[in-house]
Amino acid sequence: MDLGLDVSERNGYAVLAVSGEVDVATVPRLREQLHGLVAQGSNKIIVTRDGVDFLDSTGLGVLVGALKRVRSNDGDLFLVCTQPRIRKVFEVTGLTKVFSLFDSVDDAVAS
Amino acid sequence: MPLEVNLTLCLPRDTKTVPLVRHLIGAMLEEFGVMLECRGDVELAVTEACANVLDHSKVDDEYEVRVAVDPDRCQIRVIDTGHGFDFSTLSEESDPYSERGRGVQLMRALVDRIHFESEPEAGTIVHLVKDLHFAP
Repeated sequence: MDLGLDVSERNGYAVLAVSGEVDVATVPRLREQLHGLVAQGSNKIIVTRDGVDFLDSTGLGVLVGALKRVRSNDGDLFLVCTQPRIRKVFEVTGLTKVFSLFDSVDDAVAS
Repeated sequence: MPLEVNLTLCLPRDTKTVPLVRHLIGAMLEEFGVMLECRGDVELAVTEACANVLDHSKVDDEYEVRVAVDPDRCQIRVIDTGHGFDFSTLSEESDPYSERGRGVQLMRALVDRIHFESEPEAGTIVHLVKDLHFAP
């Protein structure tokens, strides 16, 4: 299954909608996309993952790397995710304490 | 599920094989009526085990995935001939801001039993056992 990456803008946030499967085979594209957003000056990023069917530890690592980059620029990276299967990956690894997780882009923008 | 099935996959060291393994095992468990959450746990655990092979084996190496499913459990052995890996050095919890090192943590959390065998220059076996839960 391929990886879908779609970028839009919302109230000053770059919104990256990710769909498909994020694993060791597809994660280079996600890393490139996030690095590109940061390089273009985006320091407020929302990553939506409701279209993600699968997420492994390599995907988590790329998200943590992007989080550190934007926070070093006084920005932040928020995650939108309601799927229990994907949320479980964050809970098991303790990353719910590192990332701000939201149920919708509206909630993330309003935070 | 009265069937007992054994499956052995011989694979090149290529990232494309990781989703292939995951999809094959997921489809097999779905066919047998295993519940979605249980399937998801197995799929993620075997993905992490295979990704670990890609990290710790040589470019030209091959690796093997052996799957045994019976009415109670799914056993998976991921076997490589790489340079080995010292799993005892891994801590249960990784640095929350580390960009690596969550694969073993996930495997331990997702399966019921896990066992590592590794010798320097003699490869690694990751043995995962998941008790299966079937849809009513």
